[in-house]
Amino acid sequence: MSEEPAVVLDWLRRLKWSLASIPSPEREDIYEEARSHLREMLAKGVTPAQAISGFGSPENYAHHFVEEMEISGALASQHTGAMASIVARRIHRSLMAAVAGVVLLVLGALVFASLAMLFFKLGDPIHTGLWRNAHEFFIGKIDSPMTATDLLGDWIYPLTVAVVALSWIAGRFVLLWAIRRLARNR
Amino acid sequence: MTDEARESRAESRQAQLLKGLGELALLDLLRERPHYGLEILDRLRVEAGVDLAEGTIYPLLHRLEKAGRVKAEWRLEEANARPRKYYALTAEGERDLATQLTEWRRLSQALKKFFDRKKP
Repeated sequence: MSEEPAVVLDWLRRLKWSLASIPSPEREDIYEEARSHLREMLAKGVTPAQAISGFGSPENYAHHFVEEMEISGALASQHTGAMASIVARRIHRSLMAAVAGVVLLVLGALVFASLAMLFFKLGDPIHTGLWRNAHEFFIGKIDSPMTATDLLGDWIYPLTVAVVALSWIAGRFVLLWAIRRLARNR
Repeated sequence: MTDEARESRAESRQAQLLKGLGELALLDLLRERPHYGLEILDRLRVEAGVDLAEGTIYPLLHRLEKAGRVKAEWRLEEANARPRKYYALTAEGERDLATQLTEWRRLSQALKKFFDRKKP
């Protein structure tokens, strides 16, 4: 028969369930430490409700560890998807994540626009380019190419590659910066 | 503002203050010898007046362990059959504590001078 009263057992059961995303040895370690602490509190004569009150809800308590694991895991792997997912889920409650999100959005828009231009250039190389004449200066499609000069010509291809590559590097730099700041501020 | 809201804001301010101070006091406590969680909470509460909750101290210890500033081991003491997880300061933790203490002393002296200044 278990040593803990029902209210403590229920708290521990919910804690174990909330820690499910953490790998087994670490999860067991966190669970056993909380259990050991609660047992000692009960042995001191503290009521079950008082014993668990300091931990807060098991879901909230587990959240600290899950968050820690996610951030340290993303920092260790430096996997772009994992870092982007962490930043995206914190945009509404962290200024750093929000700033990083805006920068990533701008970089994403730049990449999208560059790829769109590349797509149009491949489909219609005569009418697509960076155009300048006496009245206009724009990037895109022109009706009459004879009325303006294409400043880029075929340079649009390496330029697109450069924009995508630099945006990718800058995006990863921003993500790493944000994750490190989030890790430091916990 | 209601009394409840005022109390909640005061608690939030205290929690923010304790967040940094708690880590400093905890590292300083572990410099003496390894401690387990409940012992850390009791000593910080009684000796340092830092009233941290279980929901704060264990995630903090976990984070410090991950950062390599403390190391932990389970011990089964003869007098007590319950296993306890003991935390000890690492060499990196000692260096970090020395840096934090220097900064804390500098800041507290500056603040003391500021609060004690002559006011018009």
